[in-house]
Amino acid sequence: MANTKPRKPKHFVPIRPKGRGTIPMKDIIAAVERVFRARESKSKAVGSAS
Amino acid sequence: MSAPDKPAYDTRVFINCPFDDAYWPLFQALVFTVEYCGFTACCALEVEDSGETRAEKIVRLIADSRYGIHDISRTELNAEYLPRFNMPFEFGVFTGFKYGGRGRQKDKVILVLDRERYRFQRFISDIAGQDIRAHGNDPEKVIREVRAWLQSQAGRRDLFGAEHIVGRYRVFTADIPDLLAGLNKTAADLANYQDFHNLVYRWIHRDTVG
Repeated sequence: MANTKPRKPKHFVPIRPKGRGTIPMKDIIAAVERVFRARESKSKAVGSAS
Repeated sequence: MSAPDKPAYDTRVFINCPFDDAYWPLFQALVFTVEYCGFTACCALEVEDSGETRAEKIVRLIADSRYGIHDISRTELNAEYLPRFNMPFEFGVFTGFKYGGRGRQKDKVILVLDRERYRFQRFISDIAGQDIRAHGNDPEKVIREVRAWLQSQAGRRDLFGAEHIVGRYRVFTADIPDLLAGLNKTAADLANYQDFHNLVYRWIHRDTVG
């Protein structure tokens, strides 16, 4: 089966914004992490059920 | 740990566009694409909390950005039959730096976006010869055009493919309600550009770096 995962460009790291918003960055990090973890566990559950 | 460095001139993309609700999906796609290509997006919305005058801050943002994306698709009269001049003003400042500036300012690169490719000829024919591309008010077309432009102008061969970015953009927009719920915020809170920018940055960081 072909590997469909795109290759990450070499040395690619998004640039952290300089400005500070009204939402603390640690809260944003936590919210993003929760969303990704929920998606990952959902796809694991689908994978193990099939 | 020291504070992160200010983004370098060669990675900054100044976005000059309308900031109304109707344009929001296109603006969201613009910022997402710029960041997913490893550049950093800046715009006049950063000006809000500053002690500088708005014009001073905009001029400084433009002077600090090598790339400029100017969307003229909403060049029209407002409800009071007055033209919206902020975008032509910022476009003019950017062009002035490019053709009248010194040193690195001459390296500035301009992309003009409109909803139809040749519509500009009817109201701003002086910009003929610039890189003008049409997005048809479609966020996914914005992604493809901006990604292709950044790749060619920055000479970057290592960007993610357009279809990959479009696919990740769909996932990102689908995640927004859950992200906002997790932050106890609403869509209206994303009008704060710094918050939106930080959210985009962190989502992309988690998606690409882990």
